[in-house]
Amino acid sequence: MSTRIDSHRSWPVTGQPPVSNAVLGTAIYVATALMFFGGLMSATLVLRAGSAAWPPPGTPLLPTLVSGMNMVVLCASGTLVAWAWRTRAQESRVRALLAAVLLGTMFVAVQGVEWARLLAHGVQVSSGQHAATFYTLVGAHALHVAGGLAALVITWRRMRRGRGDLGACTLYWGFVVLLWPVLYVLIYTS
Amino acid sequence: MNRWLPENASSYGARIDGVMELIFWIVGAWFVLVIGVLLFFALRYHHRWHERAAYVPARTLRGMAIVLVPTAVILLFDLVIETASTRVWDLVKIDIPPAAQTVRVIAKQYTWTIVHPGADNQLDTADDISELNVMHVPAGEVVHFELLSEDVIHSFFLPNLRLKQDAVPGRTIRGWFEATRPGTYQLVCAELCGLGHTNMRGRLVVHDAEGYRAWLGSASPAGGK
Amino acid sequence: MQHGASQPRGLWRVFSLDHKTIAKQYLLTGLVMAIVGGWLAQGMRAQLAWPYRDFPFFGLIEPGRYNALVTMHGTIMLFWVAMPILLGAFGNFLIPLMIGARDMAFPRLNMLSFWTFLLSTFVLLASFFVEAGPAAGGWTAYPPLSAVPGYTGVDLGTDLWIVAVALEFISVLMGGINFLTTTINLRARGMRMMDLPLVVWMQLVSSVLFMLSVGPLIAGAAMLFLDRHAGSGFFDPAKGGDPLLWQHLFWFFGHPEVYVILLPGLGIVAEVLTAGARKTLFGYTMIVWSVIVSGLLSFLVWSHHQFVSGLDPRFAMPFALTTILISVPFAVQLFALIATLWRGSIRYSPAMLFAVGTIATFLVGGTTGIALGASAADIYFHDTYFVVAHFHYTLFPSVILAMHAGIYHWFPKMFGRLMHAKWGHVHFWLTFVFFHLTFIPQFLLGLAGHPRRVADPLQFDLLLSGMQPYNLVSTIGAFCLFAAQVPFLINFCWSLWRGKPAGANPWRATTIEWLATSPPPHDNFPGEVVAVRGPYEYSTPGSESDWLPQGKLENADSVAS
Ligand code: HEA
Ligand code: HEA
Ligand code: CUA
Ligand SMILES: [Cu+2]
Repeated sequence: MSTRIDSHRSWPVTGQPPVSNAVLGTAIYVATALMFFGGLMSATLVLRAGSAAWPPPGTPLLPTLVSGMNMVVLCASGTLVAWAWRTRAQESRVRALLAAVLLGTMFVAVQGVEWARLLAHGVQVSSGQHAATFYTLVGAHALHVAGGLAALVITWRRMRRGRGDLGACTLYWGFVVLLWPVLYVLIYTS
Repeated sequence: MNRWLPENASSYGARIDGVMELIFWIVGAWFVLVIGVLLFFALRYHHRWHERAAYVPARTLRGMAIVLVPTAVILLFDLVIETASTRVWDLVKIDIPPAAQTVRVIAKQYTWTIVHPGADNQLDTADDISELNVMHVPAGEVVHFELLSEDVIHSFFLPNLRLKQDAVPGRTIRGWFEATRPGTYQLVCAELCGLGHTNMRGRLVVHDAEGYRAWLGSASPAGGK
Repeated sequence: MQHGASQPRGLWRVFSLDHKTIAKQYLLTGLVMAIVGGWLAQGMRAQLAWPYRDFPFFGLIEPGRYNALVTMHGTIMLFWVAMPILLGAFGNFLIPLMIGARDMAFPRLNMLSFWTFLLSTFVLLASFFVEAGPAAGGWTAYPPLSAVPGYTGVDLGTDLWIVAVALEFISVLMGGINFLTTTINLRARGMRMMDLPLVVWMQLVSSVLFMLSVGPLIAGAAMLFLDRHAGSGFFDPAKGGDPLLWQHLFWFFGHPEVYVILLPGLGIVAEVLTAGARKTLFGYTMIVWSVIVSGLLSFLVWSHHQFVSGLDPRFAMPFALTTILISVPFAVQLFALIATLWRGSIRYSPAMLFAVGTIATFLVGGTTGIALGASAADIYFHDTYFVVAHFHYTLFPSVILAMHAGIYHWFPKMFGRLMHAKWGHVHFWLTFVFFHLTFIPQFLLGLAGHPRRVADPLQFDLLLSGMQPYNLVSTIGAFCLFAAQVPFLINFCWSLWRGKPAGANPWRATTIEWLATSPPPHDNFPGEVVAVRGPYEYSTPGSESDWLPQGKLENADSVAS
């Protein structure tokens, strides 16, 4: 076998890149995803500005309160991950991660139930701009949450075996968590 | 350049041609200069005539000057072009002069329906004259148009008038022109709109004062719609 | 980088994690798609010269099929030729080698990127065979035309188009994450950012532009798909939607995208030019900064595609201003490249010819861009062949000419053999001459008012009054241009097996990829690479030889793997 260069040693200045590959790669993806949500949100604002009434009269009320509480759930999950990332205690770290996964799952589940209820009330993607932007924004966010959950579960399993690094996960989960309040303001307060 | 452009027949057409010409000369001169220098270097510094290259990394501002100074000059020319262009743009698209009449143009795959205001000079009255693919206007008068589309995006293009404006479903877009020269000109759809895009053509008939009155008299009102 | 131990064997080798193999896979796919895209252009050109004849190979091209040809030609050339070759092939091949790394930062992601791309290729090609044919709404896919099947007569074809483009974007996105992470984190010891070869900088900025602009378009594509299938009406005015919204999302991506394509091309030119002229790059720092400035500006110009689209006319002024100002950073870049030739000692390999040809040709494309950026002139030029000629004069040099420069230059590194130089010269001159023969007439047709995307030019007075022969000339040029690629095809294939063995550094070039053997083994370098000087030390004063390599090898392996 040939000798290999440890990638960390090849950093030109400090001898170690300040950010690991995983964190850097994730950061780049997060920037792209921010632009994606930026596109969706500006589209929503444009369509909203062009509409006479927002939401149109007769639309069932959006679950502002439940989603607001759900936001607390998601933020709690985010805090746990951030805490796990900072802490050194292996045991509690793994436990915090598991709790974060469960809270995150709960968030998705509650959103799912709310979706189902709205659909049952006849609010569909085809019902109008308000409904269409609602489903698109919430759906796109839910997809990102789901992806984050998958990453958290994988990291959690690695952590249990004493391996793995939380940096990338924390960054990504932080993005997903912090995005939600912004979307919440856009979607639910009108 | 005038050789290639179609004959101009609008009041502002010459101004647009003027902008094109200005750009053509400025940018053209730079182009000739730059391509000339490129060719000269490419031939002059062939290794047969220049055995060892000089070492010119241009690390200082002074060293970069032979690039930065011409670029600064280009910046000035850019502002000239922008100013000239914006003036004409404002004339054509923003500062719309008052008009004697408004014509409605409705685009639909793949026809132009032109609603003329008729004798009372009012749209949406009984004497409106609706024609398929033919637009009649008097020469020497400002005409407003209201552009609509009923399906996809089309584009209202009168090459001789140097006028182009997309027709967008859901919007009414207003504009103006003043045809200066009597004659018949082609109306073209300039935005891909489906199978019949190629064939979505029409005519603009510019009448002199007498001809226009004659046309008004002879055209049968389409009935108030 | 633990994959070295588990190199796949036999047929499984196609699932390689090696950046060089992946680069070659991209190159091959891109070249095959170039033939497809070029072939579609032949059909279009035939129709434009002799409308509605029964052509050999193409048969009768009725308007619907013509629209499909235009759409698929544009889409393929941009997303299945330019992107895979300039970024996928050259980015993948050059970045790790030039920065002295063993591979990309995420080899698995890299492999996934290629296979996603290949899948997207098959989806796109499949659309040629479905009922009613492939998408026919233009590469810009403006709704409502693209949103309602009845408007184009194409249904499934449009869906496959959206899916294929989305997959292709996801593939480039994965590539971009790799390119950026690799360039930032895996540089050889001693290599600062300002020591990167220019082409690596170009790939870097290009990736950033792509990543930051593609999000809104993916959002738009998702909305378009929902409009088509879930009954929403984001772009449908009847439901309160806005067709112009799509145009904003599209061009916010679309304009940066043209620089995503241009920059790697200019980067290739810079590498070839310095090696060919034996001269250090003129104003490296200045070029890097002007590239960054043009990248930033490129996010502020998008509405120059929409001057007459029904956008509030007051927006024209600022967008025209930013558009015209972008000539400043590009003037810096082009002037610096030209100044690199100044007092050089030029040797014309085929690559060098193509590099000089790229600059000469792009100058025409860039300067005519200014005529389009001037809002008043664009009232007339918009959607005429003047635009078509403009973008072929920018795209053809950045994609085809620069690609050829890159292939002739790095073929020895990729495959260990030299391409045949005489035939390379022939290929250059034929390509260059026939390109201009094809597209100069299109400028004049555009001036005369020939609208683009029309299936039958004889419908237009302007053409009937003496301009149609220009279409004929353009078509003959296009046929010859396509045929001119045959020498290249033969040269390429012949050289793969019969070319002269190249040795590690046939061009006596300075950058680090030439330290590796040709072709480089799986791990690229037989030791650790250390960058000891800048990338372009040609004809350095005080040095006997006219080039000093940027890197050197340390701790060479005792055992070859
Ligand atoms: C690689 C691709 C590429 C590149 C690099 C460019 C570069 C530029 N393009 Fe182009 N463009 C396209 C590809 C490209 N374009 C495509 C594909 C379309 C059509 C899309 C479609 O509708 O299908 C298009 C369309 C397009 C339009 C819309 C036309 C219309 O539809 O009405 C405009 C308008 O402003 C424009 C402008 C410019 C400008 C100002 C530049 C500038 O970046 C050029 C800058 C460079 C220079 C200016 C040359 C160097 C400078 C000098 C030699 C100094 C002298 C100069 C001066 C004095 C000013 N382009
Ligand atoms: C990179 C981009 C690119 C390239 C290279 C080309 C190349 C060509 N294009 Fe294209 N074109 C576009 C991008 C490009 N085009 C776009 C974006 C549009 C707009 C679409 C739209 O309106 O929606 C367009 C539209 C367009 C039109 C306008 C149609 C219309 O509006 O009605 C025309 C008409 O003449 C045309 C012609 C040609 C011709 C003759 C070539 C010739 O140069 C082709 C010559 C052939 C080749 C260059 C291929 C060579 C093959 C190889 C080099 C591979 C060798 C293989 C191996 C070794 C394996 N193109
Ligand atoms: Cu209507 Cu093209
Ligand atoms: Cu642009």
